[in-house]
Amino acid sequence: MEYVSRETIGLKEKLGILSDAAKYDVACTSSGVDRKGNGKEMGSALASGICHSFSADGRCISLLKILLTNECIYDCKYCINRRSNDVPRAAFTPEEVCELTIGFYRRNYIEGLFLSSGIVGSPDLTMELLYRTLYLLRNQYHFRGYIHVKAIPGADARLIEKTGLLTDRMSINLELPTAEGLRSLAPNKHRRNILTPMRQIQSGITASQNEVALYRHAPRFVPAGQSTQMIIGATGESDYQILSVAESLYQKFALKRVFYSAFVRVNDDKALPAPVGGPPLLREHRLYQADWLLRYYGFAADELLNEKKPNFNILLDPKCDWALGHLEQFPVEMQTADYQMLLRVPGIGVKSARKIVQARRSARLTFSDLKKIGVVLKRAHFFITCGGKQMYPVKIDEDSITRNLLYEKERLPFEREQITYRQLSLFDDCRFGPVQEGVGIGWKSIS
Amino acid sequence: MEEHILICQDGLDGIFTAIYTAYEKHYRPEVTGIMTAEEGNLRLFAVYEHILTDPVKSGKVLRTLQDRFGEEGFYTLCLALASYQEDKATAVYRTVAKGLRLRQAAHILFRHADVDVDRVQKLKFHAWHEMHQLLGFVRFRELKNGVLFSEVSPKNDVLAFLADHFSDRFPGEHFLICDVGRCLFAVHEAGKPWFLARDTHFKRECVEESGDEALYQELFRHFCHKIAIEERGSEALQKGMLPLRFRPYMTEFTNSFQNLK
Ligand code: SF4
Repeated sequence: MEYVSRETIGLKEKLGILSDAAKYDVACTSSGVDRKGNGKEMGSALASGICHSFSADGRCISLLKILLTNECIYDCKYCINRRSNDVPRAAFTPEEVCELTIGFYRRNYIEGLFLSSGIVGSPDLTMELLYRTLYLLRNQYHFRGYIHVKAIPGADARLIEKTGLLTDRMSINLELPTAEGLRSLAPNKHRRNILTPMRQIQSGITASQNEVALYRHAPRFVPAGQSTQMIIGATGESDYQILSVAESLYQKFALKRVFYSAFVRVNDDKALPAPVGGPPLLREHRLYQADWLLRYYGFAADELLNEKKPNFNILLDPKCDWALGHLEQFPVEMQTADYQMLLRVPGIGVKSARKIVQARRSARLTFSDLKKIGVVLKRAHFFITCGGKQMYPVKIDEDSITRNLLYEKERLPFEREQITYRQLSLFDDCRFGPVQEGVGIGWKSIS
Repeated sequence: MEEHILICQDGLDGIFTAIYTAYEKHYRPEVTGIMTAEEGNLRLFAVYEHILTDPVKSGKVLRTLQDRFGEEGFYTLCLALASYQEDKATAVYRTVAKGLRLRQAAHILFRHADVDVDRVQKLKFHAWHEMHQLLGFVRFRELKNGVLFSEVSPKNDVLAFLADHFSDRFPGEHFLICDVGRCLFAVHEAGKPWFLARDTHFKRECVEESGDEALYQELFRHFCHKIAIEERGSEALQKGMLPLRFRPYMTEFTNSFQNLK
């Protein structure tokens, strides 16, 4: 009995250490792949993903997000697990990871596993361990649920290939938006070591899609696509630089998602900035909004920002900001505007744009129809006409619309009870800290 | 013009029977309503009729709707009928009537400017949303006999949708999901199709957890606690995403299920 309870405490402590160490990876989505059950083994997946819980910081918990071990031979300055930190260390055995995953999955705590790791011994050894764990989970424990695994930069291409056939999503973190940033804060990592496997995974996905098109039962390589993460606010890049990097990742590496992680200062290191008022959450939020505009609304990065205007407006979301700068394209007539233009109207989202196109085939739309459809009229009405008429007679004039839009307080996802929006935006470090000059984008030249 | 109100049993069978009756008697949809419970205030000049559920009639309606509305359209109608709102049956009936007049019945569902269609879409969205939340929020406990047991208390009648999802996901498990408010159980035996059962005498005190159960609950609570980034903390956001009404049934928000009433 004694022995059993000691074991138990061991497992709980390990889980504590290894989930605590994994939490700064912001990706927790379980989306991107539809897989029905097969009537025998446990598990399925839904393309939309499923959130199983929400943690106290308001983020979705969908996957059992853990490190295989938090030991690491590297010394990235921003990372809690870096070699030079004196923190409790632990490691799971592959079997323990499997038991936990199955135990949690059966109780519907989670949608699957998100497995990452510090670098033990060498990148190859670490990748081998990740592979073995996934192999066990899929083949011995017959788990068909969602798996997201990290590819380790610098690991052997064959290991990445084998692992890609077992996982749904794979990701390699870019960590910092520019090569300079990487050099200063992650001296053991090289841009090339990150981009090479990213490219390999991309080609693997394309090859596998072609194969599956020919042979339905061909094994699928990373079917839910690959993603990456950048830390925001640890180095001096502008929003424009970051967004341009994201854009080329989408275009040149066909990434499914780019995640932005507001820098949290976990190490007291003079190479790291000390953001006033906590992590730059507003900046992170603006980047996600803009990212959305790139992926679903047909915007290009340099429509939203440019060298002269390198950072987002603190007070307005990127789409409103864009519209106010392009008033010559408004008002837009709801009865006739094409889908792409509808998408550019503040207050009209992808769903409502689609519904407008469907509904106007059979009826002339009125403002009350638009409301039913889900258009946010208090924002949209400045920019649209319906049957040639505006909802209220307003002048299309930048100043007055801006004033009105600001009057409608924007709802932000991370507002805390006491801190008002205005305070938060002032605390947001990025626009008030020193902006590092001369950090070129450099990225666009990489093909 | 005479107004007819048909009163039927809640659930697909009851409502489909009522729709069948309305067609059979050539009632006009604009002035015909279907209710699943007696109204508080009877309407003057309306003729009330009680409809006895008839599986043959409801089966005919079911097949017609499946045929004419297609899989997706039919799914929309069913989800709207899972709503707890009183006007659901009328909204669905009138939408169906309008749809069946078109060559492609399902196209009616795109006419968002139509009041009934708009209502059906809203009801569907709310039921779908709650169902989708529960796909994640359902918590199973392992009982002594290895059965997985869960309790939920949804506003909308979404138990069947949950049963469908979990039987696909856990084909080899025995599980029970109890809709506490409706005294309804989804029962799944490993390798067999699931079914719904009503049991008003169920005693939750008799539920006994397996030996491993407490450990897993403890591990999960610990995990949820550890995974939050304190610096980002936002309880308001958490509350918005995971409303309090779900929490009594969720492992990470309770110390033990035993004192749940
Ligand atoms: S490689 Fe760098 S970021 Fe990854 S665990 Fe090691 S120190 Fe942390």
